[in-house]
Amino acid sequence: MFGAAVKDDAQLIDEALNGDSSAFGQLVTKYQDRLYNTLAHLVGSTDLAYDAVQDAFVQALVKLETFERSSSFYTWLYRIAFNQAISRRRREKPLVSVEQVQEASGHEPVDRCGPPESKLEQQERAAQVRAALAKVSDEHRAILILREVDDCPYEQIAEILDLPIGTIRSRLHRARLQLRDQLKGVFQEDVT
Amino acid sequence: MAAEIREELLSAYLDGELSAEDRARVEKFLASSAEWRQLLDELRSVRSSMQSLARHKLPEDLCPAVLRRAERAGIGGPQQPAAAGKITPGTVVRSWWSRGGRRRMLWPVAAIAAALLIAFLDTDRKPAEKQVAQTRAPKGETFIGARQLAEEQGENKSQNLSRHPGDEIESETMRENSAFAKSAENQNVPLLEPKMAPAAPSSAAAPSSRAAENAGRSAGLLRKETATSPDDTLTIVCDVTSAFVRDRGFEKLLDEQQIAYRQSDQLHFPEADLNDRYGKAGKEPVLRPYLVEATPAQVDRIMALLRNDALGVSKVVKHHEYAKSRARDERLAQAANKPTQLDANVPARVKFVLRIVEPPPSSDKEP
Repeated sequence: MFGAAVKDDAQLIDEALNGDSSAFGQLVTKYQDRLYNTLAHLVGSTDLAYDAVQDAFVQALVKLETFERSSSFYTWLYRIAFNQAISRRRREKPLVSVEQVQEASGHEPVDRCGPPESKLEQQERAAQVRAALAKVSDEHRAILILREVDDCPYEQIAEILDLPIGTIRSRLHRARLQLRDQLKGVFQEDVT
Repeated sequence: MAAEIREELLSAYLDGELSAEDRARVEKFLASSAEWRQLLDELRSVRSSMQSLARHKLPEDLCPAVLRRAERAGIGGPQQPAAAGKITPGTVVRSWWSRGGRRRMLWPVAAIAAALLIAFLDTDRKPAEKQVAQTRAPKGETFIGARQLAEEQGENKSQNLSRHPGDEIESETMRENSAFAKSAENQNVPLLEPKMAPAAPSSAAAPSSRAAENAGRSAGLLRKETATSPDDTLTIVCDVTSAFVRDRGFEKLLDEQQIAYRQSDQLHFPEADLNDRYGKAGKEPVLRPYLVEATPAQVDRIMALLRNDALGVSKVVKHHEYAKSRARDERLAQAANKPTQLDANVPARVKFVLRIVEPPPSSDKEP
């Protein structure tokens, strides 16, 4: 599946390089939601994520000729977006947090696996997870989101973060332990 | 340390990222360790918690906005005549890659050959300017093709820049905007102007190099100055006649285009450098600097209209890439926490410097 996606992207990239902007448009449509979702959780702001995603696609189009295809297009795109998002977050305070957006929009979290819960319970749990996630270090949060939110295999995470797979494995484990500890603290506060 | 390594395997086991051998080892250990089973449950709970987070989805398709911004950055190129004005998903736009991409590979070779010939003949240049001489033909003029080829070959742009006392080479800006610089070169290509005048007689010094440069581009194009200016403002230097100035030709042109401007009393580089770069205009040329607020399209339009005036204007040279001044404006605005707008409709500061020079005396025979 991973290989098939790369092949399709390669065709679109070739067409885009030959002047077909609609081909690049297809890449945008294909990856925008995935990228946006990942970045929104990474930087904790949908506004920052929106800008970073748009910037990333523009940069990717501008630099498309330099894409060496040693990795997948999404990996390359994500690295651009990741840098954009981190840079923006360092420069700007998040205007609207993910939590604020969800509270305002009534957006319901999607629980992909786990016991059925009421909507309110789901929302509360998601808020607790976000609060715990915000307390985790940047590098741990990034790897957690790539793995748990973006479903990236270790190899792709290693490519994105430019780290050996062994480091990914150990860092992900430490990240999970850190989040576990933060969640325990959040749940305990809730109980008391 | 051994315990940490084993624990690490638990996360990989949970993710299905272990080899068969390692998976078997972990399962064997899990069977005998309640502590490990407890830890595995906790890791599963963490994963479940992460997966409870909301799935964010963009409210709209970003494609039109991305293509619009790319077009403003120069990627996408001029549109097909049938595509009335906008790049939309599905519109096949022949980008500058395809439109000029292959041809660009041909004429730069010819331009390089011509430039090297000129460099060989141009032996009175200072060493610091030799590098620029390789990309220069007539005095004060450079070839885009040579520079493009240098960029494609990955040469350091700063090596191709002329250096003058007081100049600052904004290498960071050049690197940051390298892609924009390449695309910005396309901004030098004027919009299709039916009234485009032929090249001015005073700049007909190197026909072979001119032919090489014009190959693949529309008629009446364009030299590009590779030097930088200290304050990063796009500057366009125009040689005009005193009659042109007396008749307020430039002001009228801007008024007709409804472009805001004011006369400036400051030049950002010495007059001596101005003469040196753009050719001698006289011992003490009279200069008329103007600050103009214009979008990239308006700048191109102004330059095209100036070139159209074969009587009043003999030379129009863009000194600096527009993208850089806009990038600088963006950086400054961001630093001031102001919202920035990289919008084709938002004008940026451009400096026009009119040098009053008189045309050479007529060589026509007296009746």
